[in-house]
Amino acid sequence: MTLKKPNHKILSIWRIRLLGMSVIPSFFTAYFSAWAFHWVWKVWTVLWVGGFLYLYIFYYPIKYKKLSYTFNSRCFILNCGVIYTRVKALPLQNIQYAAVISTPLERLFGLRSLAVMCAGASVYVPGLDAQDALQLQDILTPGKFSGGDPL
Amino acid sequence: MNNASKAVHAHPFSIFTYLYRYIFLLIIPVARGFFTGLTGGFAAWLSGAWLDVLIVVAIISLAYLKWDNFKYYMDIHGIYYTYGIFFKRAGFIPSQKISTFAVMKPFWLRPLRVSKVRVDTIALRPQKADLEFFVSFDQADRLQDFFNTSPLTQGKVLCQYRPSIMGVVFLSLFTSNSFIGIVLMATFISQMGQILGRQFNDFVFYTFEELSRLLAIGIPPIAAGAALILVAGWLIAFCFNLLQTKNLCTRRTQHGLQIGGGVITQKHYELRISDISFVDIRQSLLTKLFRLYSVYLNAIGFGKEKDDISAIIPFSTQKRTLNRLSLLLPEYRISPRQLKPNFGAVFKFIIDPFWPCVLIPAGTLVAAWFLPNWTSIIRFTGFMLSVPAFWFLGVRLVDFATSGISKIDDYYTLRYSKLYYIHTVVFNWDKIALINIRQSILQRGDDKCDIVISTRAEGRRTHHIRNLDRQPSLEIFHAHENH
Repeated sequence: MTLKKPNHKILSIWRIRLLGMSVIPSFFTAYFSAWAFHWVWKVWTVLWVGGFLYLYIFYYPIKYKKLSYTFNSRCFILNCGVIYTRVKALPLQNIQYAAVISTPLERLFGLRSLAVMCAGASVYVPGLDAQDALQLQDILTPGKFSGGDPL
Repeated sequence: MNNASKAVHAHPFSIFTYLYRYIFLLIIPVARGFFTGLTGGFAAWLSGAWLDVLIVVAIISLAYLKWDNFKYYMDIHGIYYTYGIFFKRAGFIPSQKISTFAVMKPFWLRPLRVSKVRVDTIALRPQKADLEFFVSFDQADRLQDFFNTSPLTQGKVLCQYRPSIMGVVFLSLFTSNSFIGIVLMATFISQMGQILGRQFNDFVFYTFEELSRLLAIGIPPIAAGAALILVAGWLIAFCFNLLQTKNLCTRRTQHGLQIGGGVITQKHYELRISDISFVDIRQSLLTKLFRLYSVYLNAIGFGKEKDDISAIIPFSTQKRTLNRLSLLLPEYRISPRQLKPNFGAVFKFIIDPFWPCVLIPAGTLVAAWFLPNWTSIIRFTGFMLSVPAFWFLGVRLVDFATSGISKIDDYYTLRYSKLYYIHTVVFNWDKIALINIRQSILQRGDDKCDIVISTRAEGRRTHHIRNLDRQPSLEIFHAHENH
């Protein structure tokens, strides 16, 4: 079965989001820079800068590297995870529906995400090309797929 | 003639149940009384009493209108309903989508010959049924007949199981919860105190004090008092549970299960076999040691409310339990373990209870050293806190020895523990919502993984098995990309 990777632009989107979220802690660091010699300021700065660098250099690249999806005769399979490597398998017959989701940032890069819903569980697939997302949504809609390799 | 024109009202008793929804309007007269009492006195309050009367009339009127606007009609095809005063809703639930049809007869409604009907599907919230209403006994029987004559539920009774009284007693013994008993006891004492006056409350508290003193042999009276409350609470919960599960009877038809029982509230459920999510054979550490098994069902609309029946086979020996299960649910076959954790995985099982088992006794010793005047109560508290910690350790050790996965045809058997219970769960492949095969950094070395299965249900229900071989796990659940 063909293993498909999401578009590499999703890594840029995650990093841009991270930069956006780091505005507030960096603002506090700059605002209280007069207290630079106080231990609270130092601990705060080290924590958020360390977290930012960890996510930017290690976490998101590993997340993208491990992210892929495919089908087999019975399941839709999503490989994901960073600290825990996960294989999430959704039995095709229990899928209720799939929804295409997009944020403004994703639309700017021409990407979409897909939320696949079952009774009792759901799975989220980020970083799909718009066309791929619609195709996958169509495939995962109940009654339209019965096994084989639709990719 | 369409369904809307054939729809009828629910029992007028429903008006009383709707009253509580508008009880919040009483805040207006209460607030008015409070403020006029502070400022204007009795005369001022009396002059505005017309508003209080108006609010009460409004509450009763709204409850009546709510009853008047609720109508239903049921035939073999399904149930049509309409409700709402301002925000109206009309719906139709087809018979084939109804997972559970239940009729409940609480003892306080039996003199009025009123019963509660509950209709449930896989949709909407897991905490509440899709449709609930009150009807007369005769009407409830008629509605049940409609559900029974649906092609998916009809069929003659193939077998029947009625557990012995000892099985029901054991079930209540091991599943009674002290907390629920304490709540019931507190409510009862407080209500009786209001009815009978202060003397009753004083009598109860005096009796409690005397008993605590009598039982305080070698332990502080306050600890004896706490133990007495727990035991009394458990006893009340036990009696309550026993009355809820007495007369338990399960019948198997071709496509369904009929389950009934209860004394306080007589309950009757009709379930479709195809809507059973999984069968759960549940044991505590104590029942595991005594080799007693009880079988629970997880099905949509079944075992939802706190006084619902959820066990279909109360405590029996293994041979009897498996024999009964093979008669009632022959599809759900338990298979021997195929995948199980290796010996080195024992630390993964005992790491959670390990810390309380070490820290609580250590903390007790330290606290006793710092506060020597409180030694006896600290030791007693430490001992009481250590018991559940070591009990949990025992459960996890048993879990390590017995956990695993197996498969026969398309039926999976999972063995695992959750908190203080050991579960053997059987379900069909088509009841799986999500298979999550999770590998941590430490597990990568020997290619082990944890498996978390979500089963198809109204809410989320997961089953977690620890430290199995990754490749065989992928294959047994068809989660391999080359399958």
